[in-house]
Amino acid sequence: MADQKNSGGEAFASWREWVSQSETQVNKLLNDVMGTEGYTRVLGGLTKVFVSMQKNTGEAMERYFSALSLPTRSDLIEVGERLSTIETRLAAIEEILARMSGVSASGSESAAAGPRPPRTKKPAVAKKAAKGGE
Amino acid sequence: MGAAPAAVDTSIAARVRAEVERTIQRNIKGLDYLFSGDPNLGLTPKDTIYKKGTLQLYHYRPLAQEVYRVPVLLVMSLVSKYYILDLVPGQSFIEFLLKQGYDVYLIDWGVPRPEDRRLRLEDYILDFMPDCISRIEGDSGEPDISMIGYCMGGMLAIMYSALCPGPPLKNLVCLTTPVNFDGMGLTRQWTDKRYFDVDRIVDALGNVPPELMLASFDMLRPVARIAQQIRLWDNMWNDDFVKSYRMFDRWANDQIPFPGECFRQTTKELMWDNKLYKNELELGGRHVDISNIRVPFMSVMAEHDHIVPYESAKDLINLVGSSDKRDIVLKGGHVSMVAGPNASRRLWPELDGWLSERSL
Repeated sequence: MADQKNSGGEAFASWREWVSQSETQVNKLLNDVMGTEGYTRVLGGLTKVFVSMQKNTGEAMERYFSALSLPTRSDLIEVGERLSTIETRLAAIEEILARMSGVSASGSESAAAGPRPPRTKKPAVAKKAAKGGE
Repeated sequence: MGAAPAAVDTSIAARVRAEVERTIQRNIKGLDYLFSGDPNLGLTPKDTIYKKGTLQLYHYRPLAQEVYRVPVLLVMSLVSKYYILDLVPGQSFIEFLLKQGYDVYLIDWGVPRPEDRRLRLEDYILDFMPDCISRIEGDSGEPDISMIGYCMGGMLAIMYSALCPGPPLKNLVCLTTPVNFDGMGLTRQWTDKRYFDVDRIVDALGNVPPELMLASFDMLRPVARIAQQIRLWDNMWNDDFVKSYRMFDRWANDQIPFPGECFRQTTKELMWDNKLYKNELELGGRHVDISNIRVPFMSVMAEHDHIVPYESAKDLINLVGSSDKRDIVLKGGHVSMVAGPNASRRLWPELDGWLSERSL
């Protein structure tokens, strides 16, 4: 992050040092606990609960929206998938048309970039060596 | 004799005065902080030369009078936003590369949509990446390419390079790239197959929600956020610190979902069975053998990386088959190695020195 050297000799320097040290120590302490099999088992259990809740809520909402004749999340995902297929096909058609007309499919944006520099650059070391050999 | 105590008094008075001034500044600037918007990042001028679904292939506009012959492709991770490599002018890795004379392209995978839940590693490595590379060949007119992968992007680059080891690939650089998942520390422990039901997660949720990803990263350093908040308050008077904090904080909180099938595959085949390291991984029926990689290769690791620990990345150098290969360990963490002042002093010049000679 930003340079903190200028705060080194100040009144709160030792407090800042303490914060840094405490952070390292507490992280290590908690990581030691989190590295145990017991923690992993609890974490796995909690994740299962979270996922089940999400799933149940999702299913309940699906039923609710269906009852109201409104599109559900799965309906929208299905529409999204179809749109994605259409997008891919459109891009392929664009590509073919661009190739037929001899223009890059992304021609408009590339043109905005203007002329490109030559690919002649040499690293500083190689340039020096070349000069030395001359 | 009396001069010394007087000097001490003055010094103490000056310190107290400075601290009072800072406290006032903290309060004033703290209000500014609360009411101002997120910083704009990733603004180096670029053109999108290819799109497919959420994927966008960018070409950055050159910032040098002449460029190296071989273009550079940056491959980002699937689980984080690309703009960590392009923060603000002066702190942007991409801007640095452009100024050094590289022709830079970047694959931005975008934010996976619910319908992307079926995407697997095969889709990224055998479909999207070759597509992007052929676009770059067409756009640049060059038959060669250097690839730089960051984090999981490095892993994708490794898999691609192992399956397509010949041209156009000319150089490969992996930044903090895991290969031996037995060395993934707590992440490996938390995904223990006895307790971590990946099928239930993917079947129920589709893509893995960003909140879950963020929580798992946060758990690796449980009190880091609290300590960062304390440091932020302490340095609220310091505009440079606050600016830097906001950039990194925005990126760290801007997590994206992990495509479901890809997460299932990564968990089972890489995290559980460690197939990439054991040379047993197959993608699309093709064997991913890292020793097939023969191009000049560089692996860079961070000394204090808590996301991709050194143990998980150190063996990569021994697995690649290149004769021209190098690995280095730099000071810094997973993020500070590639972005910010630490990166501009260490990684960027080191990488430039290595790549420039191989980009002719």
